[in-house]
Amino acid sequence: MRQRKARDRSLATLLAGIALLLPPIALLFDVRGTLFGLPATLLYLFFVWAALIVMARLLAPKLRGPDRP
Amino acid sequence: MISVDLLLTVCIAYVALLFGIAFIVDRRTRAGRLRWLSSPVIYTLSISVYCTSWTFYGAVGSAARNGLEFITIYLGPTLVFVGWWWLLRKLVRIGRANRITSIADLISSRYGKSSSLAVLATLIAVIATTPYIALQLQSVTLSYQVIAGEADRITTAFWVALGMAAFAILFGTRNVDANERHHGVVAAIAVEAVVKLIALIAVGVFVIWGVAGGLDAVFADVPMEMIYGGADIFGPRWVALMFLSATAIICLPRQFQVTVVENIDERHLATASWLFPLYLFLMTLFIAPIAIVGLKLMPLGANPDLYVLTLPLAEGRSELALLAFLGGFSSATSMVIVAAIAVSTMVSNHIVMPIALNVISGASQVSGDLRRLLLVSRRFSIGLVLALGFLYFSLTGGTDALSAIGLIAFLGVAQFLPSLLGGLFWRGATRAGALAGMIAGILLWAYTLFLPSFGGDLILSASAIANGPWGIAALRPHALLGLDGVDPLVHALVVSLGANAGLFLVVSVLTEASPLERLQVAQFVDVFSARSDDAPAIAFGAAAAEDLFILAQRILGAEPARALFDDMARAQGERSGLPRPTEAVIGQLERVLAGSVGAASAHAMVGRVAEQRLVGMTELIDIADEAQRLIETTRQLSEKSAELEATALQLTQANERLRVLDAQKDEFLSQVSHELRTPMTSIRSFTEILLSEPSLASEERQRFVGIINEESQRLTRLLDEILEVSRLEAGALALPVGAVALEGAVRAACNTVSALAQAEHVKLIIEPMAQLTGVEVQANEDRLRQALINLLGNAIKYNRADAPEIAVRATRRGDTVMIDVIDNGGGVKRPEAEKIFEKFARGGAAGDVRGAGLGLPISLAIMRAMGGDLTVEFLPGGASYFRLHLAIYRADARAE
Repeated sequence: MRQRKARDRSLATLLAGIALLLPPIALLFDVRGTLFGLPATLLYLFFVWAALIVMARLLAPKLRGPDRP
Repeated sequence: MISVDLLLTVCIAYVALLFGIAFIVDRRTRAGRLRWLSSPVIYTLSISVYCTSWTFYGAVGSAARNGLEFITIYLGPTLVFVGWWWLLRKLVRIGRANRITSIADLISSRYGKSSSLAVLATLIAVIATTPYIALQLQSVTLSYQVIAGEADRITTAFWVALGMAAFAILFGTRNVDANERHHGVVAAIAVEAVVKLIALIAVGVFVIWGVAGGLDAVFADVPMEMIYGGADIFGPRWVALMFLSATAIICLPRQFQVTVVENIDERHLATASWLFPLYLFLMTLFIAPIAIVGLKLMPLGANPDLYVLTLPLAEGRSELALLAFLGGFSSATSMVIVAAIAVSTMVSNHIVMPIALNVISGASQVSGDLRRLLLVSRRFSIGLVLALGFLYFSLTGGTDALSAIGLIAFLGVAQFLPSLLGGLFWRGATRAGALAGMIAGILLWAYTLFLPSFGGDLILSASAIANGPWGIAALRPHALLGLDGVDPLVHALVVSLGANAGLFLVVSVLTEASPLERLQVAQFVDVFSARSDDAPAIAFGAAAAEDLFILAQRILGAEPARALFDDMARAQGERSGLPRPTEAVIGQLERVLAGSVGAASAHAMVGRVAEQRLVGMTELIDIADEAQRLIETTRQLSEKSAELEATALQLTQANERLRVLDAQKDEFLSQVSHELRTPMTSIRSFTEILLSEPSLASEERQRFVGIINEESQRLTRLLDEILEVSRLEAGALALPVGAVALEGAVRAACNTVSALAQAEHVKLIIEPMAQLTGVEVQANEDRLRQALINLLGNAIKYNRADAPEIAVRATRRGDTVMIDVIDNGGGVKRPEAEKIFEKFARGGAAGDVRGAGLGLPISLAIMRAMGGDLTVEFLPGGASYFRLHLAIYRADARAE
């Protein structure tokens, strides 16, 4: 049960990652400006990337299954 | 400045260190002490062989030339690993379950272990790896040139290639592992992964805070075009690069090697799913700042691919430059080692060995010989791969951007993708489809991207690249069929992969899979379906025992199954729990179950649970046979049971008849004794009177003696009749039959009773029987007359009519003659008709006791003994008469 939920979340994470990193959604962030002194688009890409890593980190123990007997 | 000697010394020392690590790890592996070496972190670090010198040098160059798009090369693999559950897990499971040794092996296994596919996939891998190897040679050569000054480029590259080949041979082919795992190499790669990460981060930190003076300063006053590259970054090229990098992390031979083949625990993937993207994230973090600072500070003509190395040098930090060189060297060597191992495995397994085995077949095949042959072919293959890489480098001149070369390789290996994914998820994919797709894909790749990369030096001339061969514009490699204005990479991707996937689909749909292919389909597509999804391969033993127990419970019942499994667990020396599913346990269970469901079914069921084995055609046939036998047996059983039922019914009926007969016998005996008792009583009482009364008058005495005499005669007659009826019924009284003239017999009987009839004032009429004159019946004349007299006598005696009248009528129907005795007294009543033939039964109308009641039974017995019958016929109105049936006499037939 717990694993199925995690599985669904991992699929949702994957699909969200694909959607956010590709056009047309990514085009919304093609902003030629800076944020905190950094290029906004670069910041956006690294932010999505970091979010994906955090999600994968959270889901990994649940998806990995029980420890070796 | 760094001296060349120092550089070479550091490099050799570094290689020696790596070699030492590999050596120690291999020794520990053989001793069975892997421990932390088999951790998921090592696994993840080995996957980061993805980051080659393309990443280390080329990514900065790519960022400087094309802006942000360098990041796609790392976002694609990130998505694949974040979604590991959906693809990588299946790939690793299949690889482990089928002991897959390379991507060519996987594809050929999936499509029925096809050798032609294996050769094709190997060739694609070799060709596609060539530019990638060249890329590493180029980066090491260029970085060496930066430090050592303007040495001859080709010569340097040659020595680099030679050194790398020696290095790869030393690492990759020291021994041959049965499952192609190289723990030592993996450990060395992990160390290299750490070195290159530290080197890049060190350079990045130095450039940002040491050179530019902070992150803000890096991006201050930078034209946006410098950061973003072209007009729209999220265009077709962005999508294409994301797709290509995601494909490469699966299809690159070396990635397949470290991710699938070297995987020792499926669950390591879970850790790699976030740790590998994190590694990529850290590698990429400093690339954009380094590129921007390099663009700002370095002279206009400087190669941006080398900023990582030239920036520290320009700032006079030679130790950092040395670290950067070592990082780049690490990236290149790790890639070359793994790629060489992966590709040489394919070449030796799928090309060299089949040929060699064909050649030496017949000669004695000692295992040592084969082993040496394998090693030699691997070493030869590594040499070949590096030679091809060097050739590519020298042909292209080593001037292209690193990432452009890498992308050519990416699209080359991407030709595996349709067949690979189709093979994993689509049952309909066939060998012919995979062959057609891959051939078309690789040819179009070569035409649109690979050959043009030589700039006119190989096969395609420069003018053919620009204007199409023979000037045909529709055949221009960068604009096939007039597909103008598209980025060459995107164009090549769409054309080659489009044709590949399209042909793969169409040909697969049009062709049939061979039986072996179908067998493999189940092992690939359904690799998870039989077992529960969350049971990893490690826990398989426990899961199988539990499944076996459930199976046994279903077939044997809960208690017997529990007892059986307890016994088996005890036999294995375990106090409680389920037995380990060893061969013996499975065999025993199979035999026990075979007793319930038949051997073939038991074998198939237990096999399915225990080994996830496929139910083969022969087993299916066996099951069908067994089922057929079962049906046959059932049919026979039901027949037998029907027979038994019939027999039982007959027995019941016979028993019923016997009980009736027994009751009749008892009744008969009691009636006989009753009948005998009456005359006996009167004889005794008159005898006693005569004895006790001597003074009786003589007339009186005379009368009494007369009564005694009369009663004695009656007694005798009674006994005679009883004797006769029982003899007739038992068939003991043989009746000689012959031809009897019917008319004569009837008249004689009538004459006999005529005196009695006159005495009783009964009128006896014999109806004329003209048609029966001369007819003879089959009978015994005396007995026939007796039966007739009996019937006539009854009719005379019991006739209660006012004007009693008896008619005798004879008729013929076919071969039967019927003699009716009809009286106008009404005959017997219907309810009496059945009882009238019983012994001692008297008609209800018979008031007196002159007859013993044996007349009709005797007559019936006589008639039947002569082959005739005696029946009671009813007239409308309720009156009845007796009818005798007799057969017409025929000379040849004799009645019983």
